[in-house]
Amino acid sequence: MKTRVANEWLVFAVLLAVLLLAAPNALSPFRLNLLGKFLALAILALGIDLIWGYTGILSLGHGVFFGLGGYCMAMYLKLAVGTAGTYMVALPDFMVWNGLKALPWFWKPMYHFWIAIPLAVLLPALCGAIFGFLTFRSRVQGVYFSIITQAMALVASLLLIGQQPYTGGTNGITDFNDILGFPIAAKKTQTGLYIVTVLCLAACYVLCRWIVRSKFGRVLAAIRDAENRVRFLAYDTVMFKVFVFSISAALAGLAGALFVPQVGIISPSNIGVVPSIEMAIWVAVGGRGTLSGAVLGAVLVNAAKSAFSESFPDFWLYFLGLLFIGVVLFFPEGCVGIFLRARERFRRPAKKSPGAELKSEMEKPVPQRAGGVSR
Amino acid sequence: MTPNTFLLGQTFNGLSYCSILLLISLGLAITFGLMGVINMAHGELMMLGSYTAYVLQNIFLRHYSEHFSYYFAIALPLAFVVAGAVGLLLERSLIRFLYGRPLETLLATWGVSLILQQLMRQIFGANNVDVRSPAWLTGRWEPFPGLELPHIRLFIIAFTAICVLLMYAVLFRTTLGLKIRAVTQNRDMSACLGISTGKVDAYTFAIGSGLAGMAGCIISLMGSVGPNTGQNYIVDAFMVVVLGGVGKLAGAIAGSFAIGEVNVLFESFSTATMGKVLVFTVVILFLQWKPSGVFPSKVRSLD
Amino acid sequence: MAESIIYLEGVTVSFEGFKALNNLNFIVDRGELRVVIGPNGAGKTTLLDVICGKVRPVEGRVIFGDMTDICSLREHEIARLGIGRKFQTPSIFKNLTVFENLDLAARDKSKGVLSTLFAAPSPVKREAIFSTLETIGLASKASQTAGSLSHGEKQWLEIGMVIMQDPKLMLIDEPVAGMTGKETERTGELLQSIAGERSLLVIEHDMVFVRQIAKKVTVLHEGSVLCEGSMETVQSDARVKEIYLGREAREHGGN
Repeated sequence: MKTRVANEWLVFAVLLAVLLLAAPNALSPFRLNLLGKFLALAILALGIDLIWGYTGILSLGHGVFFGLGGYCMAMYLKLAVGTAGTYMVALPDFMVWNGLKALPWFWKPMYHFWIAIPLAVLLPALCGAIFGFLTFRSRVQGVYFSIITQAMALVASLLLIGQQPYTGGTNGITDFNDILGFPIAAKKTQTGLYIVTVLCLAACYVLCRWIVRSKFGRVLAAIRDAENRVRFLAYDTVMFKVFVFSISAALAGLAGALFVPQVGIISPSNIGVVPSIEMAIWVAVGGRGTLSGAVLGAVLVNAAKSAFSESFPDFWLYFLGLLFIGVVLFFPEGCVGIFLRARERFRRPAKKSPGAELKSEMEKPVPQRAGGVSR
Repeated sequence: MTPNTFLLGQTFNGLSYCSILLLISLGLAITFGLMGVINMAHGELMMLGSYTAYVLQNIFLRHYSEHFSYYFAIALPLAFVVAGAVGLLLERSLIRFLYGRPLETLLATWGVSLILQQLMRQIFGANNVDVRSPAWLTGRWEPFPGLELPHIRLFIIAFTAICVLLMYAVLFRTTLGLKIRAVTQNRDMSACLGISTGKVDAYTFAIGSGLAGMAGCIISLMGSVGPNTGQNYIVDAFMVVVLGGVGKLAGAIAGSFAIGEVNVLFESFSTATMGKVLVFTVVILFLQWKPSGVFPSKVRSLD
Repeated sequence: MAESIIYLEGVTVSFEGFKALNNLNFIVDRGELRVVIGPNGAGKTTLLDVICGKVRPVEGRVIFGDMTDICSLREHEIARLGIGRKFQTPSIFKNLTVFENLDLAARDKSKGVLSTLFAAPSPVKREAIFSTLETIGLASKASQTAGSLSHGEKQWLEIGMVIMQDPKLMLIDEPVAGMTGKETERTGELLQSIAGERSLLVIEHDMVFVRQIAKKVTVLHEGSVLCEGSMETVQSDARVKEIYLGREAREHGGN
């Protein structure tokens, strides 16, 4: 067991080294930027895996938290343009052409990088905690919860679109110049952003690993398997779910904040119902309940999306649709899951003798009542 | 227009919006409420109904323009058949492997919805298309001065009422309906009694899908439709079913009324989007107050 | 200190009109091992549901120990007060190991979010878990996934989990359902060994088992107590015979 854990950290260290040292030198700035984008999304996927793979909560509205973080960063970047914008005033261009005269109050804190960034993480965490508390406390779970998160995503995107003077509307917020004084389009800045993303991903991975390996993580697994039973063991499951949901929202916010400067724009199309469901597929493809699967899935699916939109844009949606169906019907454990299962089989060829199989079959009880086994 | 007629007018508009919502949600109430199947492609089945109307309209315009006013009467049942057939195909090829796994069904049907949307986009183009109402549906009725009730909305309300009554009739007065209720309440026992659960599932799902198709057909009268039409309504429809209570058709009716009227009410005070936001807030708050009244109570099982 | 560990006063539980418990008055004394029997639908499981907070009564009070009315408390609060339950169908955590199942159940100063996040492994607790593993006979399967246990072993694991909770009152719902004769006997011995300072409330149908472990038996019928006493008293009571054996005698010609 100890060697297996040590092996995992070895792989982790190697990957980290590759990402930090080899990639910036081997990849073109365009590809590096893409990778940075994927790795930012991988942080988001970690958050989704925490709640879905480990706790059994499927959120189809995490785009909202991603967007909160992304918009915070975007607001900072937009304000950092200062008077260098098209209109030469210290007001974002879309506000000028929408007739706003002064900066709305909730934009004001975003002047400062060291306020915007913590907000990008804490604001989604707070919203996640509130939303989670309201829904989990009323025992909303399973599919009902997922549907409500969808509604939340829809409402958030509608709000953003509808309030164009304050939020940039459907166009979103774009046209950034600098970040912390560095020109955002410069190769050095982008490489720096990439490195920061890798380090953040590594840190988040370690954090998530710690969480799921702890007793807290086992409580989460128990909640996933049989939440009611956990209640009767004196655990307040609502608090556990709210906490992990809040953390996953914070991760989503961080991902958003890292995503925006690398992509140059954030708009309601990043946060609504459609992108939110896609996030779930990344985790499903990579492997639910395995943190590395979340990262892998995020990178793989988004890389595929990039590839498709370069060559066969019309077919991307078909591929994605088939991916949804395939992951559910044919490979529910995802890539990492399949890999782990194959590895188990290589390490431990069937130990059970036929006699043992029979004995355990006979020990199964005859069902005593016609209650049925439908779930 | 006096304040009374304004209010009446608003209520009437609300009523017709409720009817649309109800028609969409009725199919969902059957597949989700009765069968426990989350069909994210429900909106796309609606869209298929809309496109059926569109295609039929074009055929009539080109070949039978003198009889154009009849096309809609054919479009409605045709939409039911088309959407029902696609739904049947969906059920047999995909959904029946996923019973008892609602989250998986949600994801898989979402994939189907993506495929259907893209298919329509490739066939008909990404832009919305217009469906013209037949002559007998344009025009208004003025029961008393100041109150104008468009024929279309009257038709929608009447049609929805008929559909609801038909659904009740089928479910509670026919053998098929009895079988449907039996299978959804206790699958194993029904199978033991010789009911072909596979067939019943297929029929139930087809009926729910067909209703969606007809809803789409009606929606095409209200405005232009396109590949994204389904997406515009699906979340609302799910809200209706969640709010109204799963397992009872009456729940869908109650839910549609609640959400429909609240929506229109809020819209008259502010914008359409704010209306939706407020509806969502109301739903969340309502769930705080009455979560067990909305969701089926588990009596003896643990989970 | 009160004589009774649990006292139900005039408790009525209604499921959409059907009265599962009907103005029930029921007391278990401290340190007792009480068995509740009754035909299907008598309200036995509902009785346990009310005590552990799974179901709320429409009327009545449920007093635990020294005058704590637990009707309004939530399930985890009731569990923390010292009530542990083993459910009818073994509900263990199938993706966790046997050890982890017991570890989760183990009594702790605090079972909140932060304390589980920063929980340090405790050798004392480890000892306790292994000792329980010995008691329930699963010591060799500590690192096996709970889902791979046989049905009987799952039942024992759940009993082990209840033991680890170290509750003052244990609610045990049909502990020997689906077990072989030998396993049933072992379970009986196990339950008798853990009673004593603890109070046990057991529901069972298996009369051999009931006879093995019970000192006092309560018969429930249609949501109320029909009869209470030793096994002999209850078995010779005419009303009990009617609801149990009378029906069977009519239908199957004796038991």
